[in-house]
Amino acid sequence: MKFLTKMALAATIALGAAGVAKADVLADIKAKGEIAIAIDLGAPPWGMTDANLKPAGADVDVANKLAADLGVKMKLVEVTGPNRVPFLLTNKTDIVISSFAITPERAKVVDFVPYSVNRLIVFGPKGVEIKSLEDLAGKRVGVVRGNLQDTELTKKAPADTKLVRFDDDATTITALMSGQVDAMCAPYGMYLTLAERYPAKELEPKAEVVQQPLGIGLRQNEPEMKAWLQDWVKKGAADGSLSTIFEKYMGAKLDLAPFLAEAK
Amino acid sequence: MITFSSTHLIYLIEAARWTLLLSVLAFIGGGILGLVLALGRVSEHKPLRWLSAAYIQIIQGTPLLVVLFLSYFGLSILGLDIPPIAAAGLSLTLYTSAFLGEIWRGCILSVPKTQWEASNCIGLSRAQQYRYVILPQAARIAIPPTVGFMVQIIKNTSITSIIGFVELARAGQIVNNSTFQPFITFVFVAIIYFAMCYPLSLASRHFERKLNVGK
Amino acid sequence: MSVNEAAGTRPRNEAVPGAEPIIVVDSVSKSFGPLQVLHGVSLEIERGTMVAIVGRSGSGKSTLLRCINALEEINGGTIKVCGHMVSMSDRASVKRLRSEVGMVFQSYNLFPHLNVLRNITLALTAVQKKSRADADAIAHKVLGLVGLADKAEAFPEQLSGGQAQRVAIARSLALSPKVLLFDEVTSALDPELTGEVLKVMEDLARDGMTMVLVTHEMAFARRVADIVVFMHQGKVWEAGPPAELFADPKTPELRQFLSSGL
Repeated sequence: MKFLTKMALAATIALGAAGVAKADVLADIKAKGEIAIAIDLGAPPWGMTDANLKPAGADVDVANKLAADLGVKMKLVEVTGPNRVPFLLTNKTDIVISSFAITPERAKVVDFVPYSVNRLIVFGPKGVEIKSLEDLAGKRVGVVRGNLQDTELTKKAPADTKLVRFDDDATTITALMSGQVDAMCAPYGMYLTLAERYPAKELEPKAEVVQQPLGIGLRQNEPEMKAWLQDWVKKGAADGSLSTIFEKYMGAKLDLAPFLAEAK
Repeated sequence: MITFSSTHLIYLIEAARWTLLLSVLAFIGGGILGLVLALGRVSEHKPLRWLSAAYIQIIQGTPLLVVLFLSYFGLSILGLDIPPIAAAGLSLTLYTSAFLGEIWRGCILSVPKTQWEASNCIGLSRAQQYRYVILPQAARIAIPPTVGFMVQIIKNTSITSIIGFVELARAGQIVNNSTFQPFITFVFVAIIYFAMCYPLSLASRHFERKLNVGK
Repeated sequence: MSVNEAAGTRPRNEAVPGAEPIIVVDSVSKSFGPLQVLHGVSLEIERGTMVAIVGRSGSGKSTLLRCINALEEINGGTIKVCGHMVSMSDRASVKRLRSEVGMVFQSYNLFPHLNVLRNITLALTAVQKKSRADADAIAHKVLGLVGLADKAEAFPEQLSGGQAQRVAIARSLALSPKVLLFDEVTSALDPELTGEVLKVMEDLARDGMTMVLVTHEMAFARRVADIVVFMHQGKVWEAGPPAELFADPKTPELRQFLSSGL
């Protein structure tokens, strides 16, 4: 989806440069009694669906908590990877909580409030000998095209690593399960889900790749909204509620401290 | 652990309704505009020919994704908020009309010139020539390429996921990322697509037979 | 009832003396791009006569016929049909022409998606605004005249070449034209099928229809035509009654044409 994302981004930057007038979105939301939050339900473990195809996942839980704390109803706006920014910029949603990696490119057009991290690891079946990133040399590693895994490993993995790119996580997983790749790079939570689902494969984490901060996306020039969100995240970090959600899906505690300091 | 169940299958089938609806919109809107364009392309009036040709060139050269993007997000930025179904319907209509217009122009042109002459000589007006002699023959020729393109459209509706439609392909992605059972998921997605496309081929054969009377 | 009463023209033996020729071609020239095909052709065709135009391929005979029927634009000269000037740029004159002149083509050009009856009734209902019932009646009548009464429900694809050509003649005949033009109508037929078509044409002539035919059927022209026109290099080279022309050609070109058995 990288090409789509780039095109979507470029088009929206071009059009959105028209500038959004300063607006008190927070007041509007409180008055309406409802907040529209965009989540991608095809991006486990952040956004996915349960057995009854109802929204589930780390971001869904965070979104529900946010709405509850704000005292309004939560309206889930379903988005896909490429259209998160366009939806936000054209007011089709109030905020985005969708494993939104904070990147300088995106920061040009939207504002971020860090609330979580994307802990990327390389994992694979027991037999594959990988102890660190250097061991990736000569191995086939599956990543999702254009996502953080792709860009990070392209930077960090040894030159003769064979990076095999797929359209989404599920396809990458199929490749791993069928042995077409030796290992894959994905969020930690994904590894946990798969380890549970395919115990026979004896999956285990192999190497840490990066911890990327994820942010709640909001439009620029919304100071009230931004202030409230930053405050809310600080509270959630302090009382451990955000960490509880994180741990449920990622199997580890959430440490936001390094990123909160960077918040704009 | 979530396994593919009837809930998922129903979800897929319900999403297929969007695919179907969008395809129908594309065909009706695109068909009407396409016919206008085809007639414009073979018109006796130069400005009409030029306008239709220009439109077709522009639309054929623009990716459907871009048309969709501009009509939903682009218009929104300019202050014109249209519902997703309108944006999708509009984009698919514009897109389909350009291709159907060219296909049908080709079919009209492949009716032998002698048919134009004979119908002219018995005194039919140009409109009557089209109505009684040319278009019925062009229609018969048009069926295979038109049906072929319609099957493409049914598959191309998956692009509307970018403006928020959870149509069949996107639903497949969601189910897959929920169950991690790609084989079952996408076999069913394929079956449902096939179930939508096959009747088109059947209808095609039926209409070819019907219009081919005497052969 | 004769073909003529169905077609609405006067029987031959009552030709009005001193009447204006039904077709007057005056110094007509026609070019296709740089190629000039007709070089100042002048010709007059009397009402109720059959005129056969003969000549080599490329002599301009089909082009002349098509110009008379306003299917080609002329570059010089004038054409007058049934008393009025005809020009492709004058839509009204063309419309009038269509109701007065019928044409039959080498490749019959029947409408393949319509059955024989509908091929004939189409113009009757759409152009002459007749009721379906009246149109059907006329169609059956002309089909009978060309000997194909039992083929009304057939489709063109099911007909032999000779049958299709006769239907094409019937189609033009049904519209009661004053003149019928025939452009090499037997050239595409197998020899055994030309006879049935020529017979229909002979019947039409006998009943007084004005007919202009471009043809290679020399024997037929000699026997049935009132006037034969020999065209060569885009001009009328010689013209006259067939007996004279065939027996006593005045120019070497005509002599050569006749002797080569074309």
